[in-house]
Amino acid sequence: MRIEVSARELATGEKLRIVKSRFAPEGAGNDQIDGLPRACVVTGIHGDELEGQLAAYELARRLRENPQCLTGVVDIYPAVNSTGIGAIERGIPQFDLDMNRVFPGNNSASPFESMAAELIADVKGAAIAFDIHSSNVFLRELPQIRVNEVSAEDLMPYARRANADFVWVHGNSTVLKGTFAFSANAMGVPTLVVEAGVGLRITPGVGEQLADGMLAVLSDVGIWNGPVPHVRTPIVSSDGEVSFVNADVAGVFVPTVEFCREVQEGQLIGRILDCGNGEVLQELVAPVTGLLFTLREYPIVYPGSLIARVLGGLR
Amino acid sequence: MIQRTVAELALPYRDPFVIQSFSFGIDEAGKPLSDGSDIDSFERSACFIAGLRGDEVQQTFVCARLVARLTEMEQAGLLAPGKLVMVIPCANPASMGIGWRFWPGDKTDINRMFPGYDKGEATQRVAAALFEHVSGYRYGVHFASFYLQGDFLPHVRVMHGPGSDGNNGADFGLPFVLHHVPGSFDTTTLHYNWRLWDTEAYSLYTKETELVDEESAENIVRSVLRFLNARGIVNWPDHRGYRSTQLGESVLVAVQTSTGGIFCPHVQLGDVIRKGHALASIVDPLNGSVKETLHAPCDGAVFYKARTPLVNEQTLAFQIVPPNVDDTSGSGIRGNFLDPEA
Repeated sequence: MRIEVSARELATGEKLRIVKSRFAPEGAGNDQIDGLPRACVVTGIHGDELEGQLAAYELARRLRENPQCLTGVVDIYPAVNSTGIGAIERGIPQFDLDMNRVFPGNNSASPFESMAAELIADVKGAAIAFDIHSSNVFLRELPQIRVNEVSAEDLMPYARRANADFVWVHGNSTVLKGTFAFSANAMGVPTLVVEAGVGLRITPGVGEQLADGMLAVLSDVGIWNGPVPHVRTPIVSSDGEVSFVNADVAGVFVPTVEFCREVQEGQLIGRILDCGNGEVLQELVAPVTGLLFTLREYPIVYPGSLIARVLGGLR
Repeated sequence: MIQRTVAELALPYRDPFVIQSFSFGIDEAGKPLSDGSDIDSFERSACFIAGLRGDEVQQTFVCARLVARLTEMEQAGLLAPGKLVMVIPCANPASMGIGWRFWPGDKTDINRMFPGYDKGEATQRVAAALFEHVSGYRYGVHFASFYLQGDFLPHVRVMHGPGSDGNNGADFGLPFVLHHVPGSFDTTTLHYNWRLWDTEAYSLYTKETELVDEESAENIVRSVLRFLNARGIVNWPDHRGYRSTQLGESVLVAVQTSTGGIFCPHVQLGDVIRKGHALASIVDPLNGSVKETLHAPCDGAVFYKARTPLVNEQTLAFQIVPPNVDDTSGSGIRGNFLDPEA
């Protein structure tokens, strides 16, 4: 069932909408639904992040094919920044505004801030929420859950079951307070931030992997009583074990290693090239031995551009 | 005057990104600042910065005129001895050069990166280099623009926080001083970080952003010189300008659309209006009928006006400043500066 969560009229009469698809136990009336545990799957807050599309499809497909296994409610919001997705824009077209910086929103402010507030109000009361992002267009990421250390105690039981390869527990100082996940967690909805793949693309296998994990968590919170896929045990790490590799020069980056592989300290990760001169401007090496879980995908780099992240301290 | 490079960054297939500063001062012997001067012996008195976003052309124009004026004043001996004034007219030439608001590489906003990080991404590095140069000044003024597409009456914006005071902005002599309570999105702005590190910070909003308005620019330059004169940094007597009306942001009365369409305003910035006055029509873009007429909800003056030809439902079309709102307490609003979410 499709439900309109929020809508505003655009200049030409079209409605800008946030829509959700609701999956509920067969035959459940509204009164019964209100008393059931609910999960929210939110994706497309950034219009250039599409990995959540296949994850949403895979979850919706399984729920649709097995309605008898639903013991609670699942709301899927597939395209929060719908015009951004259509326009191939990360932010909200017209304003260059990053929607994931305006939460919890404000009902009396601009249309987009008030729509953010209506989304938050709609999610309120859920037993669990997933905020599925891709990486941006610049980086490829191993499927991972990001958890604010402040919420770690509450979220880790879910994060471990979400079938991610990696759970990154962030320091509180690096967490942005205008995000959907921060606001949702702050109002008591345990919310997992999922980062996976790369912007503007759908990586084969990632959607299925995330859908498996969501089903496992739905089972844990009493929303799904069907078969639970086998889920992997994630690596759990804090900021201190993650090392960053940044460019020092401008140029064209070409990797020399494969993504998601173990690298040795000092191993060449890639080169930044001056293509017109046939010259190598910088060679980038792994700062520690560990798992290369982030790798630059977009070749043009500036000084400071993130090239890679390596998770050290692994046995 | 000393012209310096405060930040430099290589750009792919472009000339390097270079931010220039212009510093002015007169030493105790009455000698203008030059390349051989001991700049560190001067008191860091006032810093002005514009063009953090590439579309802030009017703001850069204001600063460029300020550079020209201070150059003349320095030669004429009109700066107070030992006081240093620095101007950075264009902090983001890489974006301004190609007509973009945000950073060309990743569309990030330098004014959401302060205090910066010198080992981070490009805009974090730019913010870090800038902040190193602009910190430590007694007064800091950022010529800013708003994220919504609209124009304001020229005003001074002061963020509530350590050292803020209801009368802080009055010395500019502009019609309004607006007191802003910081939200979470403010904590990475230059203004917030200046204030956090003990610089008395102000944001000045002029009438235009992408377009140049010479008259408005000249008024802002005069207001800056009036401020510097009041603080004993220059000797430039002028009349006192306006007796500024102090108001908290919450005092402004918002007028929002309830439908989308073509925006046809009937009033201009600064117009004095009565309750019920027709402010604008929202016209159907297909059949020309008036879908909505926006009326003034109160008496007052038009403080903000949207400038987009098309509006969506709930677009902020106007802000009205009611009469008799002078309130040096910022209308009693006190946010928690160190934790805006608290």
